[in-house]
Amino acid sequence: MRNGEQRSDTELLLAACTCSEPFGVFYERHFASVLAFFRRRVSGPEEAFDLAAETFAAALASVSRFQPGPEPPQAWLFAIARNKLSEALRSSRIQDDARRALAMQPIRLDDEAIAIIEVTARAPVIELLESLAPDQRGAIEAHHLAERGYAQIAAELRCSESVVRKRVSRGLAALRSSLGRSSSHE
Amino acid sequence: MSNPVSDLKRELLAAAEREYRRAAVSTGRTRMQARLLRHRLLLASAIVVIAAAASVVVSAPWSTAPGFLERAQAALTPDAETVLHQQWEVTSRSTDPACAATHGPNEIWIDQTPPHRYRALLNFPPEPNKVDSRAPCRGGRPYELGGTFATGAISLFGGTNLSVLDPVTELREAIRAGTAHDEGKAQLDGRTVERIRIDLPPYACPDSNCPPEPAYAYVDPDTFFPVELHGSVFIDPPAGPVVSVRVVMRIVRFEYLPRTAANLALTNGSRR
Repeated sequence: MRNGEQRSDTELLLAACTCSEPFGVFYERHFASVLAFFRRRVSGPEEAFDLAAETFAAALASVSRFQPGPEPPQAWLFAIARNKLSEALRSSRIQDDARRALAMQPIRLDDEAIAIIEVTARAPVIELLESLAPDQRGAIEAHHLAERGYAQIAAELRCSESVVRKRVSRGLAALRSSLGRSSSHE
Repeated sequence: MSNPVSDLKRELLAAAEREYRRAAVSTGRTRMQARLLRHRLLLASAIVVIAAAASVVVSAPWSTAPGFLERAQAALTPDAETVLHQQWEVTSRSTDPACAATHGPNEIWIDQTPPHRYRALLNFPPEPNKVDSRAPCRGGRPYELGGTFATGAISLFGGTNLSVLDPVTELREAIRAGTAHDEGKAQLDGRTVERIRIDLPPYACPDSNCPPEPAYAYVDPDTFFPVELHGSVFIDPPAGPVVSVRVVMRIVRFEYLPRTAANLALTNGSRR
């Protein structure tokens, strides 16, 4: 039998009906994406974490109902996430029904924990950044992460400012396209 | 250093373990009931799968906090000048033999004015004499039923199976009977619903030694329209052992249409 890391999402969810470990692997595989999904849509990291926690609790409560279909299991997970988000927006508060039903203890968040949440929420974007062509990635890192101006970057790279702008622009377009593809599951 | 991501994982896994322990206790009870029922006369048809899912609601007690009952009863009392349109599917899960099958889509139109003419397009194996222990594992075939509820034209097994096709009417009756329990909010695939536990009366089980497990009705907390009905049924085929089947009736669409000539025509089973 393959270990948890090697199993597909579908295998993990089916196995999670009788054993907790596969759900743990599924959680580790997708928590950052779900957190990033919420982080882009709500104002603070605490709210994003709260929604992600409620999403995984609801997924755990529903895992016995999961049935493999043409859609990947992430689609099922993100359908739950979308429901949680719309519920929160509708009622102006984040529900904790699923966590209470499972008798889960609340997770306390201090400054350090919030910093971890922010890094985790950015992880999927950083992964996408790694997938860009090196010149585009370098330009985006220099301009958006290191906050250097186009002229300064152009001077360092010994190219024209318009070349730097084009690299940044094309890199961002590629990122948006990749995010769109990953969001199609969301 | 506290890591909220790890902390949450630990909480989730602990919750999962609690759920498995609870499910194990419940499964043990179900097996005991199946053994007790083995030599008893039970309903014998695959269609009983859906019938029982809804009929658990027929006998549903419904006692609730003040306010909930009144609002539910009002919401579940349709205008006579409407036609109920409902689509649903039924998933049956059997442990022995281990299998699951989804039957559907099923669809019905019911005139809400007496004699409540209806037409249903179902996807079940309709012949009771062809039921065996594998019945819950198989898909059905499309067929049509029609008639009026007042004449009992669709009663296939000597009793009413009105609840098969119109669970909301049964919910309303259950409210009137006043014997179910509102268990508050619950989650179904991330959707918040109201969970109603239905403690079945002794006659729901043909064996006095068989305390039936409760069934559950999940309804929309705002409209009270049914979302899912969960229950257990036992199928006793002419040959072979009794089969215990968990049944989920999932309502895909539920709406009241105006009682126009065009919508009334949809309730006419003889027009085909």
